[in-house]
Amino acid sequence: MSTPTSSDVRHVFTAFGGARCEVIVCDGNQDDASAVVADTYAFERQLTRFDARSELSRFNAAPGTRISVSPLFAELLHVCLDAYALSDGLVNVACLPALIAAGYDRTITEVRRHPTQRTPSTPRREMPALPDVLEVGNTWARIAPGCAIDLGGVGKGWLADRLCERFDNAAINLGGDVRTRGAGPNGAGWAVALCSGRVVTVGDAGIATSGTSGRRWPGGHHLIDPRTAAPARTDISAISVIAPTALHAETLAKGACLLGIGAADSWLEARGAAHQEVVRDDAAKLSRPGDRPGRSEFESDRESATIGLRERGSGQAKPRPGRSHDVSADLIR
Amino acid sequence: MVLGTRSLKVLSGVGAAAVCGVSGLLVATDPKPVTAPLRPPVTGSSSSTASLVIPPSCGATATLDPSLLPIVQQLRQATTASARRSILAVLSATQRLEIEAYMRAIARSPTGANASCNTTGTGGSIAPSIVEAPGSTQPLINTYVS
Repeated sequence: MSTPTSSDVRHVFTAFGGARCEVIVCDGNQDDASAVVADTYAFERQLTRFDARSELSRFNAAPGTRISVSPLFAELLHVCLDAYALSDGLVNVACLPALIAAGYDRTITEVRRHPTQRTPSTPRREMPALPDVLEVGNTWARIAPGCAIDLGGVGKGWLADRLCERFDNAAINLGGDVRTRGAGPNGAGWAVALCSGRVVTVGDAGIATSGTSGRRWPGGHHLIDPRTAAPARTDISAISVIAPTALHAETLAKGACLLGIGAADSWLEARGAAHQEVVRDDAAKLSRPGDRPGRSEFESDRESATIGLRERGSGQAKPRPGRSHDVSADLIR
Repeated sequence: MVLGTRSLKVLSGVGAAAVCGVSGLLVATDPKPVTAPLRPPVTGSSSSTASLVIPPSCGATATLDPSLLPIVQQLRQATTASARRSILAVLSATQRLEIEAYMRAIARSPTGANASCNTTGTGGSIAPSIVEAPGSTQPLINTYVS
């Protein structure tokens, strides 16, 4: 069993708008783990869209002009372009106007408390291609007028990778974007629970989950489909992907979620996913995102865990690398 | 024979012209490298240029506050993760992030340390090993939609 030993260091903290984060270090000390927490907060301060003083907000506030950017922001913008290319344009960080139009115009806590009523009558159109609206130079960057960026999971995945790579044996979880290195606390690997509730053991890996069941509010959710510039309509409630890095996994999980169950398997396989686990959104057949007011991420987590436990007890096969495991479909059969 | 100043100037000029002429002739007749034409075609696209793909993230050169460059050098020379953490420990959180972003950018660039820049820069070279944990295993970490 994978449990921390007394010599391991574990910090649990909250960042990125209330997301649960944790750092588990097996080859470091308290100071090392504290540095991870401090760096996470520094990253969030610099790149949050909810603070007008952040570098990201200042960049978004000056469209059309070259803005001097820090090495960190420049690197992340390059990474965003990479993620766009890897995902065939499905991961497009220039989704901020669409997110705001969908009602996610304040922190998720505030949006859930006082959701903005939106009229969905506005015709949707495809978002512009990221390379067409984002230029990145050595020390500058420029976003086209009318566009704005939200780094979202791309930033969290990148940061989880960098923080974990400081260690030989550690795990970093930044709001569901997980990076692990080494053999874990007692040499048996890192036990990670996927969105279905299935538990797998991994060594060096990135794991991420995307879906419509997380940041949801009456009238919408946070997963924007760049093909429609609106909250995604997908039959995947949540999908966990295991890949070489957290950033890679995050990019693939989001893209696959947008594509839906029918296309996700082959798409992921072609892009280097090692394993994926899907929780089907059965309710999507009857209603679409926005029709289920008040459903919290905690409720959806409970539902996934219940499905996973039932599925594990039914003696299913072991995870198959490169193939998805559709828990709901197994239960139906 | 004694030459006057004027004659010497004329002879010097003729000599210089001769040397330049011979040098120019040698350069003009020297075979040009085939793979790097001095006058590439400006119109049309050959098959080699048509297939050339420049990854979007490979065009820029990373920059960093010069005062942090010695730290980068120390990090490159460090051979263990512990040593690298010790070097980073004296910095502020912002400086640590800037340095790691810089080193990441350098590593991804075509002229970087490992020239690993490619179109799927979000990926890595590690093949994750995945084993289903026994049913009684308590997960140490949960991945979830956030």
